[in-house]
Amino acid sequence: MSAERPDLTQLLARASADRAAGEALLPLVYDELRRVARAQLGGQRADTLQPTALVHEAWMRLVGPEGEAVGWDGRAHFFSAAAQAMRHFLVDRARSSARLKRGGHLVRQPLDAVDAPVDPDEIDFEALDAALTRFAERDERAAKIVELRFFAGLSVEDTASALGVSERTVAREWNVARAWLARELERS
Amino acid sequence: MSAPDWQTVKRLLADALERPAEERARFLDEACGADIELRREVASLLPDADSRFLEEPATALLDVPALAAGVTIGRYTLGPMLGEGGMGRVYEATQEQPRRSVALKVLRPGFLAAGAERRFAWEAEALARLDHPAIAKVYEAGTLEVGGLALPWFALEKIDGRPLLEAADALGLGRRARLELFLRIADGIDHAHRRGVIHRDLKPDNVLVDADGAPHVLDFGIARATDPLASVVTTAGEVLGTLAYMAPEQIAGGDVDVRVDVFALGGMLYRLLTGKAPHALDGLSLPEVAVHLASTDAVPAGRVDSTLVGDLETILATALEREPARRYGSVERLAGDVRRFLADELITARPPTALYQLTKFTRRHRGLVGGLVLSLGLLVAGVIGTSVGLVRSERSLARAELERDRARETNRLLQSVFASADPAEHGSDVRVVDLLDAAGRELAANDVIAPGVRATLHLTLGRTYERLGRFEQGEEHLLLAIALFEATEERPSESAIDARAVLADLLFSRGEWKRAEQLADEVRAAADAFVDPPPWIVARPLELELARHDVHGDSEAYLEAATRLHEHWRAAGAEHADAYETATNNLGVALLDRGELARAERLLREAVDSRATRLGGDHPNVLTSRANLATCLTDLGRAGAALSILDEVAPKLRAAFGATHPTTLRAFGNRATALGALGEVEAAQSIYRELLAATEARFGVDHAETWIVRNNLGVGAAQLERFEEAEQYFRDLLASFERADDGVDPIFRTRAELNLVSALDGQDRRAEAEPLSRRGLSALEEALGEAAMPTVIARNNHALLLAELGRTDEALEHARRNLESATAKYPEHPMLVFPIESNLARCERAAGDEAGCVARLTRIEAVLEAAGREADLARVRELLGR
Repeated sequence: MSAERPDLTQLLARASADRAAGEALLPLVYDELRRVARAQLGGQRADTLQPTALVHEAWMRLVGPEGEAVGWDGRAHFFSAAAQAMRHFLVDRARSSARLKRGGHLVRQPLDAVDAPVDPDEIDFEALDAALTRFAERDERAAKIVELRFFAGLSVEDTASALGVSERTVAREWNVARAWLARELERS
Repeated sequence: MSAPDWQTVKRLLADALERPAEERARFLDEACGADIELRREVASLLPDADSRFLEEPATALLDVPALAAGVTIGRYTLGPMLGEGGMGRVYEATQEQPRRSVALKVLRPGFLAAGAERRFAWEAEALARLDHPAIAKVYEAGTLEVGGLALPWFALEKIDGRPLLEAADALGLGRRARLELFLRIADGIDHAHRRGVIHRDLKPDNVLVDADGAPHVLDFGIARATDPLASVVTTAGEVLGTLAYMAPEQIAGGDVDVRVDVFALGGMLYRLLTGKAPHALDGLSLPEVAVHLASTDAVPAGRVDSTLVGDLETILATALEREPARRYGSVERLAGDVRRFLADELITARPPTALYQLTKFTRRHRGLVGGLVLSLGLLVAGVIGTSVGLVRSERSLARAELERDRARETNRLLQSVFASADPAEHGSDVRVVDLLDAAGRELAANDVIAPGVRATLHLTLGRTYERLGRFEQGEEHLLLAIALFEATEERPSESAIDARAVLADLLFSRGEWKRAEQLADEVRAAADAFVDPPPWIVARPLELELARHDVHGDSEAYLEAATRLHEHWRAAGAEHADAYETATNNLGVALLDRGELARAERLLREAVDSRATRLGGDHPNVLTSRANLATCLTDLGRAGAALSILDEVAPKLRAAFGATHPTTLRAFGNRATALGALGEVEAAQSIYRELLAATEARFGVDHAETWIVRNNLGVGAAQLERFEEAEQYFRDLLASFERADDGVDPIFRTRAELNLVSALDGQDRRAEAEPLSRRGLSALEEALGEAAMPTVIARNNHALLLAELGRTDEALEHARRNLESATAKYPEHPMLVFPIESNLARCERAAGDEAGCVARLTRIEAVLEAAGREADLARVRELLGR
């Protein structure tokens, strides 16, 4: 990134390292990513997402029209940081919801009338986080690919550009990582 | 056997996964051969055929669908969804007991962050305790479990209303009403702050105004009660709208306190008053926005709307200070200043620059004696007024008849002049001067008019020219009048005294002091010769004394004469209301020059009110008093209020008197002074540069009016730290003094020399400056006294100069003495604590008394804090190293 422009990547990097410092900034990224994702999905939870478009739109929204001039190098940093931010966010959310189940002083109203709209068993973010951390010790690049693909929602193509590897490598390692993580989560 | 190598596992697994599921077993058989461990490891990693694990990005997993109508949450039955934002959804809901409609806000999952549940419970209780008409009530809060996720909810008072900005526009609220509406909001926020609840997400859209015009702040504390994260996640697309009101420390994720709400309220008020957000963020990307807000001050409100220049701009800038320490410390303080502004009182916030180092000369307008002739209507009224005044002052009936004849003749002459004024020739806007010229020609050509009447006409024309600043023509007519009166009247001739006094006044204005003083002496001698003189005869010599002291800048003598005149006209009774008003104005000016600002303000306001009631708001006498009041306000630290007065008054004076009239020039000069006091030094400089050209053309280079402007240009250059340029202005000024025929008042020279001291000091040429500073200080002390404000300022500066030169003992002595004498003379003056006493502390530090310095600064800090003087406070804290 050029020296003159404000560096969101650095802010994000700091944010993912230091939660207190990042409290204000993280959700902005989160909100943009979520919003773009929602727009892409048209409100449906379906597999028609077009990740490349999502990446570009989020990038444009966050970094502005000048983002085009920044090049992929900058975007790679950006999405890496964004993915980590997202990861922390989801894990924290999972932790707090786990804690809430233990009760407290709150008025709690179990809701029978509403079908569970999300299946929390589908992904245990805490476990996923731990598994991904272990996996990174074994294969850092593949773990990175998981972050970019899953947490930041990047396409294979964009992930390849971001990491400077071939699309085939991304596709292969993505498959491997998913298989490894799935087994870890099943075992836990 | 060791665990299989990861790279091998990975390669085989990837290869296998690239093959159709049914071929994978055979592939592994071949690839692994006899390595059973390897095959087992890879096989255990092969997923089920239909696994979609992680295929859907996490971003898609974060939403919970809307809840259906009819669902019950606690005691509430959901109705339709009212709205949706980044934080959650709001539903209409009904409660059974008591039967009422509420707004039920269900937050998105995940907004209860780690460790937040206890805080949430505590905050929910705090919210429920908030009870203020300007805060939408929080009835109840809880969490809801949906599929194992915790969704916090709030039951809120349902407000039917419009968002703040929309409502303010729709209700057609003017500035005052907007400020009052804002105060109701601020009071609500203050109520919450006193109960320990910070809003953290204040913005115009979070305030609804109901049908009665009452504001209700929404979402109070919800941000805090849930998660700091939530405070910035808003309705899609409104991120920037939220950021625009967010304090830099909040964006940076640092510690926040009530001052983030102060900042947001400042932004809200800014928007209410200007229609614009305090920062122009359009077209910026998010990171640019974050950096912009952290590094750039809000656009000064006065640039958006020039009528905000002054106190309101200062209030807004103080609320929107990026550095929390410089901001209002509480909403109460912010609201207090807005209230003081509405009550036309002194606000506590100070404009960014307060300079005590240099002496700026300001010239005030002596009140104008007698009626002022301006428009055609006023011209006639002025002539008649003068004549009637004369009639009243005469004692013999024969004289009275003569005066009536004169008045009749005068009016007849003027009417014929007016009748002959041809709009086709002059345009519809006939200038008074053209009419006076025509009247003069008519008078010269008419040999029928009796000499006594002719003399009165010359006096009238001469007086009018003098008021209009047309000194040459004025002098011509006045000389004719004097000659005619003395030829036709018994001595002492009242009319001749009158004409002489007007001429003396004219000569003072023109800078011909020696001739003027000679005439003034003649007037005094003639007046003294009267037995039982009428009031105006008694007054004339005193009025000329004022003119003389004004020219010489002798404020003490001026005050004495003004006091006597004021007393004289007060005793003269109600029929002399106009003269009493003038005397009141002049006494106000005198007190202003002596630094007795509170009394000055009271008298000037009295003069403004009385004149406006009697003469109408746009009468030049009213404008003159208002311009003086503005100067007083500048000296009181209320340059903003001063500027808004001068912005109105100066152009009106120009329209009345013309662009190069001394009164007009002075009014614009005072406007530049007010701008300078507000820190708008560049703007002030460009006015002064124009004024310099105008005064040089009008009065010449070596004239007092020009000197003042040149001096002030030097002061401005020094304020802008262009010290070499400043030095040049001051040296030119001192050279000009030498050329002046009549010389220059010693005080005037001294003050210019002290300004040169400051310019040298700025260039670190202190050894060169010190003797000049010492000499100037003792000259001022001798002429004005130890406690006069100019002396206090000079001693303050001298002490600092000595401290810089390492002569710390002398510095300390001066600083102590200064504080003592200033405290005795101005016990209430804000300058006492800062910078006079704070400079004593600096001298103590220079002298090695660090403990004494810190103790003193700590005391000063407490005083400034109690007074809410945030800007001064910040400087003192800098000295304390905080």
